Amino acid sequence: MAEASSSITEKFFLTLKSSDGDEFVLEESIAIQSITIKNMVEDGCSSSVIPLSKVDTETLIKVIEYMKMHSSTSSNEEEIENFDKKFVSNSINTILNILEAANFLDINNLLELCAEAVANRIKNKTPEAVRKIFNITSDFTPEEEAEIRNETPWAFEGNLDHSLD
Amino acid sequence: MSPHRSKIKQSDTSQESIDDDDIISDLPGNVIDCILGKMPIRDAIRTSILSKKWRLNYSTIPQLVFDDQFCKELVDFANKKCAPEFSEYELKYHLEEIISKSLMLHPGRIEKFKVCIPNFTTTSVPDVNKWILYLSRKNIKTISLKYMTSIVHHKLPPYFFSCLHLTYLKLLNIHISPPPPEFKGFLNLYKVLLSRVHFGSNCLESFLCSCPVLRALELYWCSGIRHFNISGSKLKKLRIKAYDKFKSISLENAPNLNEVSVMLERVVIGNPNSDLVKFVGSLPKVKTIRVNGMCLKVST
Repeated sequence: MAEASSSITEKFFLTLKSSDGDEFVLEESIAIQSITIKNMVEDGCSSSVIPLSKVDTETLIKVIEYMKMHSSTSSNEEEIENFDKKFVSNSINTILNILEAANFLDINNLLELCAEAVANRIKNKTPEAVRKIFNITSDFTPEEEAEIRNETPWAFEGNLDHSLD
Repeated sequence: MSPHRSKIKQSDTSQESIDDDDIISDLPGNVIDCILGKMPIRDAIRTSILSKKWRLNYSTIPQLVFDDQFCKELVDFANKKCAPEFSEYELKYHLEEIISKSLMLHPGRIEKFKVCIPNFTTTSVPDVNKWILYLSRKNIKTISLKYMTSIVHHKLPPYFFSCLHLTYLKLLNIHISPPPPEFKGFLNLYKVLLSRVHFGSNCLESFLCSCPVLRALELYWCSGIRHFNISGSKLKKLRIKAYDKFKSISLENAPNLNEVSVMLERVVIGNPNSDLVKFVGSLPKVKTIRVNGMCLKVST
């Protein structure tokens, strides 16, 4: 069919390469939601493969999924909302990887979305629960901890959640 | 975390042991700021005890929000500690100390400052002026300052007019005095919400003239306004709720208004004090005008 040639604007494609060496071909109009990629395109790097040395394959797949859903041409608001809801239910490690990638790729909406998801796992939790959720090892002595609690006692009071949900 | 995940953790192959790594603590500072900015300040401060790396992370969040929820938790805390009762003085002291400390020890940029002074305060909180002085030097963009009690009308200090980077302003139970003569204007201020604000020396007009890019203006139950001389070439949205103590509303100098809502204490029709209907025809771009909920004009 003459479908492709009849479209008024020509579609450009970019090739993104993950840190694991996998290549992904993506429409330029979708990829430039990433300001980092947009800047590269504007600087004329788009003809070759764009290496994303800080983003592994698993994360890049997720990021591309997100950018496709959020590109202006497709999807309505409700679809996007549902997608985002499902997206943040990924495991916390996956979310943290995406968060770091979103920061590197400069995709602000995605950064905000993931930051909120991480914040929701910290809110209202006891410090012990937060440490477990994020594998943080405390390097304070009990005395130092007591001192910190004493500085802002009001922040440590009340019904805090011990669960790891 | 699902049981499936924790199972993976136990198998200690090099690929999967990544689950045991702390991959949050080494995120870049701006990302940590972003995460901590998305939770109440109490939760953010609690991260100071997680580990040495986290000790001061909370202190650089560019948004300082001490809202109703914060006050409620502070009162709950005081109630528990100072049983059977605590004094207004003690609470106020705590509140001032917490906010002042967060501000003074803040090493970086502050974009948003939101404070809600709870209604146990029956007098002005003097530290507010100090906070504003400090914020004026931090190129603050968003200020929301609410006194929950209407007994107080806190008078803003002159250096409020030094917060030249303001983009958003929300005030409740505040007294605004005329700007000092050297004031050059809030050149970036685009949204202003003022509730029960008193304008000293009828200064609403001069205040509006100093906000050239103002797009949205909401004035609820404000006093010290004889004439609502609304001006601004960029102004699109206007909401007014007012007592009937004013003489007129004039919108001629806001030619780009497209959404106007006016709510008066008493029904307007036939009220000789205000010539409301007169302005309806004078606004070419207006899409809707509502007066006390009634639509006066909807253009297509």
